[in-house]
Amino acid sequence: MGTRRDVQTSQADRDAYVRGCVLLSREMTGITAAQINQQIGPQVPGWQMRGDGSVEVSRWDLYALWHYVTMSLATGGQRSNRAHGGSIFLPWHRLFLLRLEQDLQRVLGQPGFGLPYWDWAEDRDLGSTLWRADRLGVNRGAVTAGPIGALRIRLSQPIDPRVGSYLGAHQPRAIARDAGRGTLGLPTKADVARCVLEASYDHPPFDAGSQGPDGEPGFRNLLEGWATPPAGFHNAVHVWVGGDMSPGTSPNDPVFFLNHCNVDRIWEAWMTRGGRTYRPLGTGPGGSHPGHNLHDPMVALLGETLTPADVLDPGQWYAYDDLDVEL
Amino acid sequence: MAPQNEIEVRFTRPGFDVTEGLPAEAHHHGSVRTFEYEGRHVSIETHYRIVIDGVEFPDPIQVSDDGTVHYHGLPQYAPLSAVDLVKVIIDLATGQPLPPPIGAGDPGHGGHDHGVQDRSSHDDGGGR
Repeated sequence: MGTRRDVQTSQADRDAYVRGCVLLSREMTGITAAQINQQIGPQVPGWQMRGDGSVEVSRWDLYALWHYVTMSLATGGQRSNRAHGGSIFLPWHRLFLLRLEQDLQRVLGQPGFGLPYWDWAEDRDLGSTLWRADRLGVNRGAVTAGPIGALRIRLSQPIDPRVGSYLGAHQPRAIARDAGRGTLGLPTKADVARCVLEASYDHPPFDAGSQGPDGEPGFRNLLEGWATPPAGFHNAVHVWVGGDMSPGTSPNDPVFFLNHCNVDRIWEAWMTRGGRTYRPLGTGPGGSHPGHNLHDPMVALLGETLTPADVLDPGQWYAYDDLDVEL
Repeated sequence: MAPQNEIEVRFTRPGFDVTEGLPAEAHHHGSVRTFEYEGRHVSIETHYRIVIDGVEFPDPIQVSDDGTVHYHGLPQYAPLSAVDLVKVIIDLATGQPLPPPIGAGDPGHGGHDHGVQDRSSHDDGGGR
């Protein structure tokens, strides 16, 4: 079982994480973009893949693909898909991070390795040491120096005004960021406290517009970031980092997993405080929201699928070093 | 426990169902907001037609009950105005030559700019 620690305070975990990400980006799968297009495309409404079909993707690239595919599978409700805009947001990303953690344990040869988290409410400056070349690399421009400078990606999601957005397959390139350009800042400690104090996990209609009887957004909707437009909490972190953290292929950037590990830590803090509850149950009061229900299978391109019920208690896989939230 | 072996890539299995048995909904080009007020049933339909330099933007833009707009190409962003959204779309456009649809020519090959091709004209077996 791994222990998940702060990426800024645990140098050993940070160095291992960065090394593992680069190793996965060098581990070729034998799967080409053309194969992906042929096997997945027919099942995904609106699928469009462009570029070089002969590009062979790495193990790291499969995570960007998995995320992109899952968010392309719309469910009923506002901004809802099989990974976002609904109750499934937290369980699906828990499964997603778990698979990466297991992959990192394998390539690092460290069965006890735990994914680190970025406590963005604490470490929120554009000039933070997190963005040094020897840590996660620069937060503006292409990341070509330091350990992360060796990471290469082959799938990304451009937007073209002529054809819209598509999944692009290209020759290997470095990741890029464009941090702090807009007016949005990173969430604060007060924001995190507000999340943890939410009484209910989620409210009908279990989408981006979820709202309780007194207008409260519910824990999931607040933490995901839809209750505070144009982007709050988790959403704001993606927008703040920018570059490859913006589109549906955002797992290309290792910062994706640091952000979501912190989101998962806040979920764990909420459940530790208020109980391991989840909605929608799929039956009875509160109704059903297919793709988001407690016992619905989650989209899994790597390893067997799990349900939200399977991941409510992660104790068999990992624990956090610190769940304290200043209230 | 760390797995002894590599976790299986499932989507290359023959007949693999990426939806896990829960078929996805089609992407809608319009939004319908419905609510009850003072005993009345209200329905508001919204459809955005966005034209950039004379070319209609093909992807759907949705509006939510709170009036914010959303585009799946910018998955974590929901501004108060479609104008703001389109400005971001233009900012993010690379201006690079458009790569060809994969599978439009020889399977497994590509990389040449064959110009703009509408997604409805693809016949490579990809989903639409």
